[in-house]
This record gives sequence, C-alpha cells and structure tokens, in this order.
Amino acid sequence: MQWFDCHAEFGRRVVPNPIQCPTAGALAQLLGAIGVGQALVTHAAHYEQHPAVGNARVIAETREYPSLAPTWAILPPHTEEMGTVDAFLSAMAAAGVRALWAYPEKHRYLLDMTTLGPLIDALIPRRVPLFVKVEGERWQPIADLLRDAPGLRLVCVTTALWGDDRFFRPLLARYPDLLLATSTLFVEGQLPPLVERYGAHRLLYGSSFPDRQPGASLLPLLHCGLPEAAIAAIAGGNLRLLLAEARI
Amino acid sequence: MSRMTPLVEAFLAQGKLAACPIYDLHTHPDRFAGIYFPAPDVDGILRTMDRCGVAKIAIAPHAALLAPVEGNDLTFAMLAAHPDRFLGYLVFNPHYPETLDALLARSLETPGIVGFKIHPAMHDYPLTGAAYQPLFAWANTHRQLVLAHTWADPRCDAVACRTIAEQYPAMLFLLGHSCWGDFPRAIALAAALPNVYLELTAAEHVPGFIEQAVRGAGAEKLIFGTDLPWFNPHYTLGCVLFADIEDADRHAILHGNAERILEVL
Repeated sequence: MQWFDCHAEFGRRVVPNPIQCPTAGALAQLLGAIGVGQALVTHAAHYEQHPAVGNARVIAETREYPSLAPTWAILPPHTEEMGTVDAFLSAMAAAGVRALWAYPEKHRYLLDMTTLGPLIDALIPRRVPLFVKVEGERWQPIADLLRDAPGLRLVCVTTALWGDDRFFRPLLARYPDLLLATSTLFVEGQLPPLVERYGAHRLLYGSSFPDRQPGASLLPLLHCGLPEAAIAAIAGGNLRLLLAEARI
Repeated sequence: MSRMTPLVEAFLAQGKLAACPIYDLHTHPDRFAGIYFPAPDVDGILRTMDRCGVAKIAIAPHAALLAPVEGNDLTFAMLAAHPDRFLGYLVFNPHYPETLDALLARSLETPGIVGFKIHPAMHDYPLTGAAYQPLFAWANTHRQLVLAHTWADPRCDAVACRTIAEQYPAMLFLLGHSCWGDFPRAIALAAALPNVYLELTAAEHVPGFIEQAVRGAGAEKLIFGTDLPWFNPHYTLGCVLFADIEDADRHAILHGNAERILEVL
C-alpha cells in the first residue's frame, strides 16, 4: 500500500506533545517506521507562531525530505500580512506548495467569503485544496463557507470524539468538492457507508499526528471490507491526484 | 527504527490474529441518541468482533445506562443469546437505589455477569456518594469488577477513585478511560494499588499515554477497551500496536490481563 498521510505535523509546540517530532527528519523517520511513505505536512509554527514564519520554515526544513510535501497557512487577504493574493499565489508556485491550511479559530478570523473571498475566488479555479480542522462540533462555519463557495476543494479534519456523521453527511451529499480526512473517523463501521454513498474519492488517509497515535488509522482502512482499489485510493491515490490537479 | 514487530506485521496483514485474541472489557452496544452508529445491534457487534479478532466483550448496552429500571434486560438477553462471546456488566443508577438489591442478587445467579458498570458523569452522581457504597461493599466482599466512567471531573477523577479503591481493596476497580485528562494521577493510582486497573478507551488515542502508563503502572495494569461501537476496535488496536512498547506488553493489554482477571471472578 502506498500510504500518503494528508495531515501530519512537525516542529516544537509551545506545550510539548509527548511524541511530537521536532524536525522534518524525525517525522519522516517516524512515518517510515510505520510504513507510511509520504505525508502532506504542516509546521507547529504555522498556527502557534505566525503563518509567515511557519510557511518559511516548512519549506526550508522539508527541502531535504522529498517524502514530505509542504503546505502553507493562509490569513485573510484584507490585512495583507501575506501580501496580495496574486503575490501569495506566485510565492506558493515558486515554493512548490499545492495545498493550504486555514486556522480560523487560532488566528481569529471568520471562515467565510466576506473574510476570505478574494483568496478563495482564486483557489477555486486553480483547484487548490484548503484544509481546515473542525474544532469540536462547530460545523456551522463549514456549512456557511460551502454554501457561498460550493466549488471550493475543502478537506475537513474532524476533532470530536463523538461521531459527526449527522453534521457532515448532508454536506457531503450537497457539495461534491468536500472531502474528509480519515484520521478521526473512528466510529465503528463508519468508513464503508461513506464510500458507498459518496465515493472513495471523498476520503483521504490521515494520521493527525501528533494529536493522534501515528499508526492508529492504518488498520481501520486496511481491513474495513472495502474493495482494494477503494482502499488504495483513500490510502494515498486520492491525495496524489488532488495535489496533481492543483494548478498553481 | 521500524516499529514493525512480527505481531504488528501480522495484524496489518490479516486484521486479526488467533494467537492474540482480543478481550474488550468496555463496550456499549445499542443505539445512542447523540451519535449515528452504522451497526450497533447484536448482529453488527458480532460482525465487528469477527472482523477484528475480538474473542469476547463485556457489555453495558446504552439502554442499561439510560433506562434506569428496565435497561439491564437487554444485557440479560444478549448474554443468553451469545454466552460464548458476551460477558456483561449490570448498570446501577444511584438515583434509583431501590433497584440495587435485585441487581446484586441477579448478578450472582446469571452466568456471564462479571460485575457492574457505573457512570458518575452521565448519572451526575459522585463516585464517593452514599448510594454507590453498598455496591462497592458487595463488590469488595465478592471480589467483583466495577467499571466506572472516570475523567478529569470531580465526580469521578483520580482523587475520588483513590478514595474508593483504598476503602474497598478487594473490589477489582477498572478506571474507565483511565481518568481521561487526569492521567498522571490515574497512572500513579494503578501503580500503587493492586486492585486498580487502567481501562484504555479513548485514553489510548492520546499520543504517549500508553507508553507512559506501561512505564508508570506496568503493562499488567492496562485493560483494552473501545466503547464499541463508539470506536472501531481496529483504531484502538492500532494505538496499542504502534505504541512504543514491547510485544509482550501488547499481548498483556490485548488479552492476557483480561484473561487473568476473568479467571479470578
């Protein structure tokens, strides 16, 4: 299986996690030790220090590790902390970044088109995926964003211990460009019906490391009873395609 | 360094392993209003067990937690139907103390009942409250299991657990969720008192917890649990398999400790 983790982090957190990886090399080694060959990665500085710092560090520190694909964090264009939208997209292209993260709660902005419109309007035709963590059960901002930007490729990483099917299934049904990371889809029997109803292409394998045990979400996918092609797509094929389709 | 020990590789390849049968001592079959579960009924639970190599589970169905008088009937029915796969906890709701005597009597005469499940948070009643004490005294006399929901919550945190565990030293006390959020004190408690065990449901998701618990309390004090159907047993199993511990520890957590405890009941 060619695993490609859609959500793993390296870097030192302000409050250290017991098994965090301080460097890109440590993360590459850890993922390799559990059989995961590639990962789309963030740096702790993305959300704890400042996106501009994290974006620079993730590029510099993954340079020697081709198995780690860097992502960048966004901020609302209106404050121009990340430059103009055009300048930001040009810098992304130059750095080889093909996916973005939004941290609206941590960075204190609204995840909506009033706030992010100029940037999201540029991401939609370029098919650049935007990742966002759904804090607790706060799905309303996700629903609002998708209502106003239905063509956005949005990847949601859930965080709640309680299953969120009643929140996300209606959104999966309405918005074909909404995807979910599997890292916290750990309700028993949750994956197969999602694939049967919405398609394997809507799910991306993720570990959510270091917030979750790095290998915990391997077995639920490998032995969920889905056809091998669907498992391979979720394990890594979908993410490879998603990144390849991003036109930056 | 690779974490692919022979045990881990075998589980990854097959999804289950006859040489390592799993005993899950914390499950809640049945529907639940707050979550959509695809297959929480008896047939679904059995299919899950077969897929994941789970030999036996100890059940406290949601009905038993939420229907104070008649809810345990589902437990009896499930035990009668599948005595080879299910063990059972009876649920005691301390707001209905008049139900306790009948439950205690039935527990001893019903094959497969291994003890009681209590939920101080859901029932909003402290572990140290008076209504629980007759149950604990009985468990102490009969050396029975009590699985308590425990959390970083004054009603059921490690301080409250220590009070009860010291007062009833022969009661086999499973700290459900290992006092989630109050881990250091829960680990210290399990290390100090022979009758206290750390049950892993949800706690094992927290990176580093299993390693800390094994080093602090010993692998022989950790009990595998999933809240099934809340958590996919394969996810929980993955937490144990990929923790930085030895295969002997994994065997103890996944089945050895439960087998040892169930033998003495």
